[in-house]
Amino acid sequence: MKKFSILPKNIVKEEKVSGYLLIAPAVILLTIFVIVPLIMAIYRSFFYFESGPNEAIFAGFSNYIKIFKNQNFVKSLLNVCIMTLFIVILQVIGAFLFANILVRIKNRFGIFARTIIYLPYLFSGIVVGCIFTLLTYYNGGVINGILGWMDIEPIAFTYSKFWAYISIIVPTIWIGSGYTTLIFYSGLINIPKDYYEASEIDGANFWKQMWYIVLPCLKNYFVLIIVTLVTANLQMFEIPMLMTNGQPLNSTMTPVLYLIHARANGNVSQSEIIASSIVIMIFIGALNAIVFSLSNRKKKGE
Amino acid sequence: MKRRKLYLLSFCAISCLFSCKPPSDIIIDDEKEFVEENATHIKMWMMDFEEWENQINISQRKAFNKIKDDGIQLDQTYINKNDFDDLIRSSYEAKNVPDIYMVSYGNLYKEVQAGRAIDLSSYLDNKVWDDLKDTAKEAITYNNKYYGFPIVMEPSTIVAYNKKLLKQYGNKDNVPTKWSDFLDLCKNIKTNLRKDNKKNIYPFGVPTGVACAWGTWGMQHSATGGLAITEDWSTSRIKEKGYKDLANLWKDLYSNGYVPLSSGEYTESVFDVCDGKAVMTTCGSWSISTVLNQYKDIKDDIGFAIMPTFDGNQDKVTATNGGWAYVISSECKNVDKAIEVIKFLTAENEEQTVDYFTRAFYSKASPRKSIQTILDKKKNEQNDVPSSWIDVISGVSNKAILEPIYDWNISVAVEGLLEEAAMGKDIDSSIDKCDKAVTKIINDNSLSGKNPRL
Repeated sequence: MKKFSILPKNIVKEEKVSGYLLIAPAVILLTIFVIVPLIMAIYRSFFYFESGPNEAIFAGFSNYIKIFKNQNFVKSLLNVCIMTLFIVILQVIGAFLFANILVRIKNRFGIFARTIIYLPYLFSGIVVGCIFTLLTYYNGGVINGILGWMDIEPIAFTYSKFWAYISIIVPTIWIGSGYTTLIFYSGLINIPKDYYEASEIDGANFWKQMWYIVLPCLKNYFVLIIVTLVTANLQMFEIPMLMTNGQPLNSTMTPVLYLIHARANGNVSQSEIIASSIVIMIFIGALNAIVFSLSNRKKKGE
Repeated sequence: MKRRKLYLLSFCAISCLFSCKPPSDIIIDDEKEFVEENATHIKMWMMDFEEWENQINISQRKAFNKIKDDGIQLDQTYINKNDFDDLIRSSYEAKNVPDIYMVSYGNLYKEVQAGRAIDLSSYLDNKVWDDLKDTAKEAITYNNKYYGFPIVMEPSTIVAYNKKLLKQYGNKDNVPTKWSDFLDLCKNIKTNLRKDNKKNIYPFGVPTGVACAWGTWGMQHSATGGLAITEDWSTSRIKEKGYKDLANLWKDLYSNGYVPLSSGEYTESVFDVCDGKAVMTTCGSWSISTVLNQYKDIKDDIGFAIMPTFDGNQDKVTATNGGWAYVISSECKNVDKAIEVIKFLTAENEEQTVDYFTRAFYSKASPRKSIQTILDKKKNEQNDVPSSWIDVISGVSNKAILEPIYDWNISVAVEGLLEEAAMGKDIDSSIDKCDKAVTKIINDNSLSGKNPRL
């Protein structure tokens, strides 16, 4: 079918050129810094490769087979999935509830609260990790100091799996909840008031408004937040490294942290590291694809 | 008006920051550097260690560059330890490789395998190689060729103790040589600490987490006469009795509250002894320089000892020797000139090398026999470092084995065994689990017969 345009041909052509010119910097930078390195990494993951004068030798899938035989790496993938699950669920529910409270506070305190909750997002993971390390340190940390005054035994945050998870999940949620809350907040204030008014006339109560208006209107926001959180948390590194460093029994070891340890202490080859990175990328991509397909399935259902 | 005040305030704040001087305990070498015109530049990448150690390396570079008419200008770049290996690889990709760089003994084999480090055997006289201690020679030898020149030997496991606390709560002056006596001492200390309601002081400190994987290599050797796998890398040794003894020791230490359930960085464990949070702790030899740099005022209250053993015999291996070697890159265009630099810094120059170890407070042992002899003689001429500390370092280092270069996951499996013991899990089932994990790693990676040091 022939394309129809109300604009004259020369203007369409000019628009096309300016469009290409506008996206060119992004395309060039992405090609140089993302696409080319990615292709090189995929290519090299199929070789026994080490930077240096020696020729790379074709290895087929052996680098991938080797990393999947590595129990510690596989365990680190499972660990990060468990932590991500908790973080995403708690952070999304918490932020959604908090955004609903914020949207109802119309006075100056509301503005103050919005500013305050966004502040943790400005800190880097390293800074947050350091702050929480000072809080949770076994011999002399703030929390254990307070427990000591109350004559309660100190908590060893790196000794039990439960506390180790808590010591990672809490700061991770703390750092990201402000950003997530503000996204939900912006979604909530964008819902037309007419919807609420019309539903009130029809006799809808708070819960029905929430179910039939708020949640459907925020569906895309939920998808955005879940995808962002899943992607970020599957790659988490700084906070686990500072809080537990993988302890106890490697139960809080994340894939990125494992690779750092393996590189620093062992003889894991460069090609295995590259293959592991590709696996992590595919893993994150696959999980995000699942989130997208679930949201699309719902759309079709609607 | 408001904005002007803000600018003024910002200017003052920035000026204050720029006018800040470094703390007085950091020695700044402000001697001018000699620049030789038309000289060949030798690029050298150094690891960024503590300030005092960097200052020694900088002053050595200046001393080298002072030599006129040798046609060599030495340029050093200091790089963060964590980024070092990655930057070396990146430099090969970018074809901007340093001529000389530092490599840890544990990582040297990777450099050899990748062809990045060249064979130095023919560049130095045989008498230079013969002057190296056996462990130092072993650390740099692959296929009967020498691929680097060792700089230092640092034993990874010794005991630091707070003399006052040991006397006050343990009623002892020295650390026992046998683990069973050591546990009795811990029991005594714990009881007395409880009486004084000192909840925040612990009798002992052991490496935890990742440090447990590498910080216990020496203890594994003293308990079992070897490491987690046989020398030919064919079989797991986890079922040897010594591993069970070690796991039981860990269980006793944790279940009785002799060690904290959670602790900080192993590399900084001596802080706890100096701050009075622990009576004794395992630590590395680098702790000596930490004490002398950061806790100089209380150095007489701190002692160092060899790790206890199960039979009380301390004449055997109780630690691994870590350390670094200089290697010359395969991309170096002026190997002869790079060798001159290595000769000056460590391989042949007696004055510079002795100066390095004395300024490092004897916290490291020299890989060269002749230098160690001089250091042993000099130890009585100085007052900075207690001679008993120097004796501990040289004694442990002389017997210490090299850090293993087998798959890191094997060490992680042993770490798991000790952590499970610490958590009070059944030792026999933990040993079975660890043994299976180690055997799987050997089989999956076909390690049998692949030890390049044999």
